[in-house]
Amino acid sequence: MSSILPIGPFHPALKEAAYIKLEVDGERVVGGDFKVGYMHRGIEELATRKTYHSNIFLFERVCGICNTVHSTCYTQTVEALMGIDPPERAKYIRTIVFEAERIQSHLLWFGVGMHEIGYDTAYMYMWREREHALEILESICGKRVNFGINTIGGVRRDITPEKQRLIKTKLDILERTIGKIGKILVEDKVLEARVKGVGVLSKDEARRLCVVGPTARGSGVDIDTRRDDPYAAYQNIDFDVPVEEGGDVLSRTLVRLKELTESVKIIRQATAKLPKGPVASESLPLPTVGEAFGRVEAHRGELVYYLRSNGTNFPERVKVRTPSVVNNNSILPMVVGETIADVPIILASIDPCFSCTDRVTVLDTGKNIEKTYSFSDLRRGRIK
Amino acid sequence: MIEVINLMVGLLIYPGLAFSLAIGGVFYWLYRKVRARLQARIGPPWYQYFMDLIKLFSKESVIPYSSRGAAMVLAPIFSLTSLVLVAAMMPVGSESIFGFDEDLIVTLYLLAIPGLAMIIAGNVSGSPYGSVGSSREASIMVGYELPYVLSALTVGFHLRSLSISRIVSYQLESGAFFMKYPLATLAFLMCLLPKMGRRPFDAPEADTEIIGGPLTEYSGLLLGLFEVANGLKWFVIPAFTVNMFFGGAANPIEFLAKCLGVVLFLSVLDIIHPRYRIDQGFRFFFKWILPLALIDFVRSLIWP
Repeated sequence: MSSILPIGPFHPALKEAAYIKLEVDGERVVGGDFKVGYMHRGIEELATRKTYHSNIFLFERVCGICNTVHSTCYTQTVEALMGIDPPERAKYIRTIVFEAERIQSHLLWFGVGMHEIGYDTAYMYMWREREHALEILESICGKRVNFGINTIGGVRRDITPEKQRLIKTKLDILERTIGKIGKILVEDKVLEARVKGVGVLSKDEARRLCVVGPTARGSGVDIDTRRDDPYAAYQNIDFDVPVEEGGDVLSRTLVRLKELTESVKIIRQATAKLPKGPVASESLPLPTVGEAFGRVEAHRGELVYYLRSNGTNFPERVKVRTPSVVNNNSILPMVVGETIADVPIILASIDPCFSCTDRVTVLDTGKNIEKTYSFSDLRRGRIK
Repeated sequence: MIEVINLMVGLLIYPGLAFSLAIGGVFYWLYRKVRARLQARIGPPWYQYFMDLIKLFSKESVIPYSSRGAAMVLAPIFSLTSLVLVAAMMPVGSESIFGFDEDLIVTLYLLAIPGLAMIIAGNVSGSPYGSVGSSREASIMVGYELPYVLSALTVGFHLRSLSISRIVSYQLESGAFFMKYPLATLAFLMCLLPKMGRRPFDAPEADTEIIGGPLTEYSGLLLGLFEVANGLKWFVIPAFTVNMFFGGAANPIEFLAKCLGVVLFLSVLDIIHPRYRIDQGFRFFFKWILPLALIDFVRSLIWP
């Protein structure tokens, strides 16, 4: 006999609102339903009413943790539409900011993941060390979140030699931190018991669900946009794409851990190779009539932007496909068969980000009535 | 008349409710402070626990529509009463006010009640998180109560006595029991972690999994009573441990210092561990802790 255990819309394990209706038999999860859409903000519609330039700052606000990812992808798509190529130095700076943001995002994820299994000490430790990554970003961009570094045709701020030195010292500290995290992951037996063999997503299942990013690479699917379809300065930089075959939470964690090392490597190379020259194109043409398609490897997986232009200063249509849109589908196949205690860490292991659209459901537990209202009902004030 | 006054003072002031709560509250703060400092945080001020109590007592207690009201009100009262009784019986220093010849058995029984109260609280609160929490509490209790009672009885069997005062006075003369029965002491200390709801065995109240576990639907005064019980636990359980294995003490100051040692030991274990899943925690107790307790228990029977 199974009963319903709701996870969400508001739950300590979730950092954003989503609703997972778990069917549980004792501690065992036997089924479920997954619902997002508590934070629909209408960004795509809003983007068609703003100019190409102001949209950079709008799309940075799609996500607070991976904001330069969005602005880089957007500006690259607009640049393709305009037919311009940003200066080399700008591309390198984009790469540095992109990877520094990956480091802070992954460290944030490690903290959250540790918190989900009750390891608050490791969580606090990782968030303390994350400050060093944020300081790198602050020194380059002047801000700790929503960096505002990208502009169409380049970047807005240059990296001075002093900043290069600061980046170097901070990277040394971060490298030591990464080593310690690796040690925690390998040596802690209780931690191992919680993450090994939990939430397995097989390679075939991963391919079938089209998951991206560390979720796919943790299941042995070797995809990475940075290597497969290089953008910014990635074609000039030597790095590896870590892949793990296990498919469990531990594999996804190890993929992220190795990515941290790779990111440090990439930033080191990019700062060393930083070419001379301007950081932004001087003249910007109006976008040509047509459409463009851009993709980058965000921290959670492949991020896709589609843009259609009608020749004016306003885009006609912008479509954003965030990596979580595809990764969220893998939650249910992973949690079914596991215990309730594993649900938060499995959920966290794909590093989810929720946004979509939804309706309102009214529950009357006394009379046992469940009724769903649509948006038009709400507008007409039909709810008593 | 004098007896009644003595009884009331013993139950409500020293060493009962007021004293135990004050010391327990400070110990609980100490745990939180040490935890915060080791996690690179600042931590709460020393009066935080008491302010929390005042806040909870001044708030409305909501009893959900789908719960069974009477049992929901009674659960924290059971928990609190049993802990106050134990506190009153506990020898602080060498003398116990309400001690009697079989108080070890009564203490063991009474200290199981807070766990049972949690099970009741979760089951009657009408919340799915509560029922998951109470089923977890029940399974972890099955895991830890047996080694816990066995290791406590080891001491009793060694002396052929079930009086805590007798155990304390014996230790004052001929050395603490943790020297003689290190395995039982270790088993006992490990059992305290789930008893106090600490990591790695805090699965019944795992906040990231089942919100507040059995206490999810509790609020206001009723939650405040559970908080009082929690504060009492932070004094009563270390005090019981000190009396059983660490030689009690000749005076209250020394006694509190030893309790502090136990509190810090439990705090550090809590800080350095993630949370076990309930089946893993249960297996841990049966696989490692029960054999430890059994070895010393058998030793106390055959070769005291």
